[in-house]
Amino acid sequence: MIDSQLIWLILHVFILVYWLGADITVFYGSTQLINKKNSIETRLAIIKIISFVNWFPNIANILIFPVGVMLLVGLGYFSELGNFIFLVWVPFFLWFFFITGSITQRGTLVGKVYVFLDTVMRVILILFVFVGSSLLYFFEIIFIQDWVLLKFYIYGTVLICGFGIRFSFSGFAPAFQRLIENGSTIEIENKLRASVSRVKPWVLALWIGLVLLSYVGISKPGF
Amino acid sequence: MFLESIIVWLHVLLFVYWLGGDLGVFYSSRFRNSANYDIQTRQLIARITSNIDMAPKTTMVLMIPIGFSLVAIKNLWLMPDWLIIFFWLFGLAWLALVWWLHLTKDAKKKAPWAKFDLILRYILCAVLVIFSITSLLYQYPLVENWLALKVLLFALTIFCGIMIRISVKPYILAFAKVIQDGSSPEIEKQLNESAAKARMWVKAIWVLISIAALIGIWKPII
Repeated sequence: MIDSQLIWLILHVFILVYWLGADITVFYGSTQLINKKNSIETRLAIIKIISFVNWFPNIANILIFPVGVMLLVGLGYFSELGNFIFLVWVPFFLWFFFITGSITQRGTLVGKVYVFLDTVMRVILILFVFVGSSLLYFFEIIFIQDWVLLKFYIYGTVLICGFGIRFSFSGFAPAFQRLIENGSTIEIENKLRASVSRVKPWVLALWIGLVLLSYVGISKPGF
Repeated sequence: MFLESIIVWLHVLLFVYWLGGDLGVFYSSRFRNSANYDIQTRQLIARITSNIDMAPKTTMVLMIPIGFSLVAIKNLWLMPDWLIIFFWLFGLAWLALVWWLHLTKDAKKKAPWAKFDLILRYILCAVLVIFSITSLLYQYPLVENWLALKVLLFALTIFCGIMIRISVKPYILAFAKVIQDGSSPEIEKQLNESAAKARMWVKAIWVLISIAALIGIWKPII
């Protein structure tokens, strides 16, 4: 018999598939974007591929938290909330809306508003993950196992890495726009390369975070 | 316990990089097949696709040692230690061959080994089908039916992989012709027909490994 816990668990695994697995294409594609040997037409084709595939990590990034919470419900957490627990989905639908807007409206004033709202969502979530879950754990407001707290902390770190990626990569889009308009110059190529070099440590840290998240979820260590 | 969780974790990561990596391969192949792009762009995208495809190829091969180690550690097949060592040696040797075939540019040098790799896949597919059927009928060598079904699904993914190789043969020839003589509606038609056939098998792999993942998590009583 397939129960709801099984569905959440398989969804949780698939979220990791389309986050960590899909990121290979995004990362590898970005290394080809800064290859001077590649023509602008080629690089435009690569950016189309990256932009499409990157939707998957973006959506996975949003879904992993509410799906993880639903899994915790199946383990007996938050039972006092009853069906109100489904309200956890509301902010994530909003967040999805903000992310979609920030991508599809990129470069416009409306797009900037969406980016701001997306940033606010992330900050709230990071605060909840670190401060909220710590309060719940250390003041024993609800019983939280060590591994669950650890997963919250790692997820928070992954979200911070997401910020790191956004800020360290912020110079890429304008430089790429200049590449399309003016053609390749040493200065533009250097800017593109510098952006990708700056983003790499954040991406690697994010991957390590995701890999650790999955290990903690599987091994459920206690301290 | 620690070793078991490490192996389960690696097993999950293999699935992650197999299915997740395939997404990029699948999507970027559309650009490679599009006549809207110049041949240099299509060639480069073909190279990118081929490089990303090494993630699914690597994970598929590693599923053998990791998967059977998991089976052994969970006592789902009471196998002697030497057999586990054999699975690892086989998996690593096969992985070395897969990477060598990817990195070697000399087609003549590659040809016999590519054939060997294909024969290996046929044999492996047949062996795994036999494993799963005898297990489903006699609970040997695998003691659980859900696991036998999972192995059968894995064997079918290997079969789909073989079918991809067969269906892309005309594609490879047509793509080489595009590089040499340039694009024409006739060649593009050949490319797209061949790619459409391969896509069907790729989608079958996605379905099969997704069901296999579901069964692995669910462990239904069959």
